[in-house]
Amino acid sequence: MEFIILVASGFGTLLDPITLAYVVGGFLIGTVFAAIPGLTATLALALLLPLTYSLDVTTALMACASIYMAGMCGGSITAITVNIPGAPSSMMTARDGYPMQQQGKGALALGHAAVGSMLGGAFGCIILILMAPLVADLSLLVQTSGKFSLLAFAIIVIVISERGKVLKAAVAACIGMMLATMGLDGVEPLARFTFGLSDLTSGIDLMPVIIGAFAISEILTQASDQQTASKIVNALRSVTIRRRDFFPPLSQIKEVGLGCYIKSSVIGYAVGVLPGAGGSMGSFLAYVEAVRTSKNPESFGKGNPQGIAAAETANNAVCGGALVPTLTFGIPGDPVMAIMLGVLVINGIQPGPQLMSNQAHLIAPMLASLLFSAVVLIPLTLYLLGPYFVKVVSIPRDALYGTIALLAVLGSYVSTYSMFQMIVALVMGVLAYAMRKNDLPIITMVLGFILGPNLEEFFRRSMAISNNNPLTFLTNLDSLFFVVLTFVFIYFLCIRKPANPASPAEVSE
Amino acid sequence: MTPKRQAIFPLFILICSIIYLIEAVRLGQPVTAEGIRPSFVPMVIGALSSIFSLILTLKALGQNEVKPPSDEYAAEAAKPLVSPAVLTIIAISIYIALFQMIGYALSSLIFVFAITTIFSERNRWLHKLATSAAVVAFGYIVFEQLFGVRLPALWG
Repeated sequence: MEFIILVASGFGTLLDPITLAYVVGGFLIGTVFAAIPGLTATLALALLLPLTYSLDVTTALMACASIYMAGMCGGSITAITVNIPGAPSSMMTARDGYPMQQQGKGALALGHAAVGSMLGGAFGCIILILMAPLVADLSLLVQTSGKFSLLAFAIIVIVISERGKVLKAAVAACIGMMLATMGLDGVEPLARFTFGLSDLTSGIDLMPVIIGAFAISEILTQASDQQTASKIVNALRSVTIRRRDFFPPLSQIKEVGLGCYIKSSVIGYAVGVLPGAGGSMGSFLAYVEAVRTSKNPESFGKGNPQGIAAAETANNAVCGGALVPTLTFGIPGDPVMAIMLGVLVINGIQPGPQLMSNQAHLIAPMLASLLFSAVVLIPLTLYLLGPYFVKVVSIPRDALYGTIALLAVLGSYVSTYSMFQMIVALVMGVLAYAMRKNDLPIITMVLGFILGPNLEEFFRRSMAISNNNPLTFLTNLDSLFFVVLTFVFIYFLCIRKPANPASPAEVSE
Repeated sequence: MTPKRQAIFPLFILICSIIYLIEAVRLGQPVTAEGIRPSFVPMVIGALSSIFSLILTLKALGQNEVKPPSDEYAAEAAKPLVSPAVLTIIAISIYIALFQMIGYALSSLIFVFAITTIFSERNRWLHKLATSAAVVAFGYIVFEQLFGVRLPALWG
C-alpha cells in the first residue's frame, strides 16, 4: 500500500513543468524514432543516455519510461501505413494493419493500435505497481548462490530464446562477458586483459558499449542500406490520414472483445518478465492466441482489427513486465531495459532487491510516468499529431543521420571527456555492425556484458562461502529453484518439439 | 556471401577467443587452496567462446555456396568501390582524431558534412553545408548550452 501511495504521489512530480516537458518530449522522441524504420526507441535512449548525466535521476528515469512506452506503440505507424514495421514489436501489427490501410481504413487501424497500446500499457503498469512490493519481498529471499543461479538462468534463457541461432547467440553472450572481464578484478587488485593499455585498467564503460552497439552500428547498417528508405518515402507520398477517422467506434472495440485485451495484456506482461523475450515475442504470442481462439481465424491477415489489438496490447503490456527483473534483480529483459539499467548505474543506484525497499521514492515516479504515457500520452499524441506522423517519417535522411552520428559520437565523449571512450564506442560500433551482418544478436552481447560481472562475483562469493563446494548451488533451495527453472526452459525451448513451429517472421510473411 | 567470406567473422572471433584464453591462463592458477582465483571465470568463458566460434567457423566453411540470381550480380557490380559503411567508419575515425585538435565546431562541421554526403546523392553541396552547420549548431545548443557539457574550443 505504501508503494501505491508513493506512485500516486509520483503523479505530483508530473505537475512540475520541467519534468512534464521531459516526459512529453521523451514520448515524442520515442514515437518519432519508433515510427521511422531503422530507428528505434532503443537508439533514442542510447543517444539520450549521456544527457542523463546532467539530469536529476528521477526526471531521467521518467523520461526513459515515456520513451519506452512510446517506442512500443510508435512502430505501428509505418507498420500500418506502408507495411514496414517501425519497430520489431510492431511486426504482427502490419499483418492486419496494412490490409486495413489498403481498404482505406488506415486511420481506423491506427486508432485500434492506440486503444490496444493504451489498455496494454496501462494493464502492465498497474500490475507492476501492485506486484512490485511483493516481488521485491520475494527477491530478498534469494541469497548469493541463488543470485548466481538466477543470472546464469537469465543468460541461458536469453541465448536459447534466439531460436534457430542459439550457437550464434552463445558466441555473442561470450563476447559480451569477455569484454566485461577487462580491467581490474572485482575481488583482488589484479588488472586483467588490459594488453598494456592503461586506459583499460578501469574496464570498459557501459556508455560506449551501448552507444556503439545500438547507435553507431545502426548508422553503419543504414549507410549500407539506402534503398529501403527511399522506398518508404515514396510509399508515404500517397498516404493521407484524417484526424476524425482515428477513433474506432465502440461497436468495433466491443467486437474485439474485453477478453482479447485482457488475455493479450497478460501474455505481454508475462513475456516481459522473461529475460530476452521482448515486445516482438509478446505480440507474436498474443496474435497467435487471438487467431487460435477466434471464430473467424481466416479473417486474420486480411484486416481484422482484433489482430492489431492483440499485437499492440501485448507489446505495450511488455513494458510493465520487463521492469520486474530489471528493478528487482538488475537483469534487463530487453535493450531498452539494458539502457535504463545504465541510467541507474550512472547515477550510482544499484538495481536489486534493496532498490525497491530502500529507494522506492526514485522508482515510483518512473512508474507514474509509464502509466501517464500509456493512458494520456498515447491517445493525445495520436489525436493531435497523428496526421503529421507520416510526414515525420519523410525527414531527409542526410540531416537525420548527420544529427544521429554527431549525437552518438559526442555522447560517448560526454561521460568522461575522454577520447578513449570515443574510440571504444567506435570499436564497439564496428564490432556490433559485423555481428549484425553475420546474424549474431547484439542484445545478447550487451546483456552478457551487463550480467557478466555480477555472474562472476556471485559465483566466487558463493564458492568462498561454501568452502569451494560446488554443490552449494544444488543444496540451497533458492539456487536449486533457478537451476530447475533453467532446465525447464531448456526443455521447452530446445528439446520439446513446438506444436506450432512457425516463427514470428514466418507468420508475418 | 561465399562460405569463405561467411567464415571470416567467426574465424576472427575464434582467434580473439584463443588470445583471450591464453591471456586468462597467464593470469595464474584458476583454483588454489585459497579458493577461486581471478583467472577461473575468464578461462571458462574463453574456452566456451573458442569452442562455440570454432563450431561456427566449421559450419560456415561447410556450407554450400548459394549462387545469387543474375539481377543480384548486376546489383553487386553496381556497388560503389568503397562501401558507405566503411566510409562512415573512416569519417568517425577522422572526427575522433580531429575533435580535440581543431575543436568542436570545425571538426563537427567536417564530420556532419561527410555523413550527409554519404547518406545522400553527390549534389546540392551548398544545401548540405547549410544542413551540416544547422546540425552542428543544434549539437552545440543541446550539449553545451542545455546540458552544460564542455566541448573543446577551436585549437583545443
